[in-house]
Amino acid sequence: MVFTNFLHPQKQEKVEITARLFPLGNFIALKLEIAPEWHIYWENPGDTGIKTSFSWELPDGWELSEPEFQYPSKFESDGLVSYGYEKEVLYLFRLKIPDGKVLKETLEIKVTTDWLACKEICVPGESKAVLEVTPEIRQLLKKENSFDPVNEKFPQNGDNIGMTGLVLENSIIIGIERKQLPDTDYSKIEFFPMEQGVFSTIVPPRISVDDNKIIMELALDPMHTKIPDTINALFYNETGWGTSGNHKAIKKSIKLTNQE
Amino acid sequence: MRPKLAFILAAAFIFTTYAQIGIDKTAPGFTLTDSNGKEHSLSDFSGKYVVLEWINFECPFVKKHYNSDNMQALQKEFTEKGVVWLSICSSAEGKQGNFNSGEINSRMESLKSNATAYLIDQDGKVGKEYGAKTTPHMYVINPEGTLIYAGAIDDKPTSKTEDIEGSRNYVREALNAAMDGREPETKLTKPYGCSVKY
Repeated sequence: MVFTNFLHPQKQEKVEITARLFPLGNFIALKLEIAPEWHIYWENPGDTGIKTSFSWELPDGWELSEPEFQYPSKFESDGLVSYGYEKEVLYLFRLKIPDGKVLKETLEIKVTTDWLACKEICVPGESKAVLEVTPEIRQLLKKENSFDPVNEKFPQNGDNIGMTGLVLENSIIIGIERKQLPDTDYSKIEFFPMEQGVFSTIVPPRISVDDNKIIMELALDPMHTKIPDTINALFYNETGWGTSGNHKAIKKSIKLTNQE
Repeated sequence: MRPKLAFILAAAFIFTTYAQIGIDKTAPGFTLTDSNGKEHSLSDFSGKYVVLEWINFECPFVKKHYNSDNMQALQKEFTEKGVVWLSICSSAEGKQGNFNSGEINSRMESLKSNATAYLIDQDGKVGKEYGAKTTPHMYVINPEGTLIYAGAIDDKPTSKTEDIEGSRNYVREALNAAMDGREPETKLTKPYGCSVKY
């Protein structure tokens, strides 16, 4: 295919996003620092944008998990809603190093991060980072410690919180059991679906709270075709969920049932 | 959990009002003026396949498909088969992608666009009615006026021209399937690109 540049030359916007890798427990952490006023996108970018992706070069036999994502912020413009990050963001990847002979040399981990940065306009780009893994760092990374991403921006698993989902014609109703939850304000919970295109991004959830349940009505995207059997989502509550470290976001898989 | 019936009915009523456009439903009618000052209505093209392509020449994702000649080739392939191809720009005045007619025609000519017309939707009314979110955002309407595809142009949501080769083009698939008398295998995908600059 021949590529030609027919479009008129434009004023080229430059976006600075720096990447840095460092060990954190038995995770590799990738930190992106994003130029002021710009944002990049979460796993589900929302109405517009593209999720940030990572290409790794690892020593033979080394493996990295999928990233743990911090909870995102919402960006609304002209009636379109996106989910992403501004200023800085940290991604955590669990590292698995094979057992074997003890190596004395320093190895390298390289990553290329492809991103789309937007404010009023969008600019695609990439950032590269390298981590030199000395034998000392390698020993630290091999320890199967139970590092908990204590950073409050990482969602905690909400498996101990009972939730149900009921599918209606144009909405889904999520019921959250309150008996395990502390007495706090749940009237402003924000919902971040991991699946794209199922829920309306622009219609805010309607929330009602009583002594037993928190009920959230979530409008479906008018253009959706199929409702999945299970939805995966983050629930953000400014006043927390009473989990250890009082994380503000929990992640949860919810099996859906249909109205009889 | 069994929410009260009244609660369910209230929710259903509230959210029904947001369902305006949908796959396998009649595509909303519209009338827009093109870059040469001529009016076009969707109803003018009754009996023909119509492709709607939301466009913003400044968007890197639109550049991906135009600088590689991918969009023009697709336009040519199907306009030669009688398909009406309407590029629609919903960029508001003062926002990225909003140009005067002379600039639009100059760009269309230098790009060798094979679109049937470039329609100006400066107030965003048609874009919002169709739920156009990104540039590009593609819609395919069959000769009966039914929306049979909406979403991305292909399955490679990147701004890199090298990703076009080998990608799955949903617009081509939908048109070919419908012209063969088959249901398109994929009728709805998430569009990718820049936000429409309403």
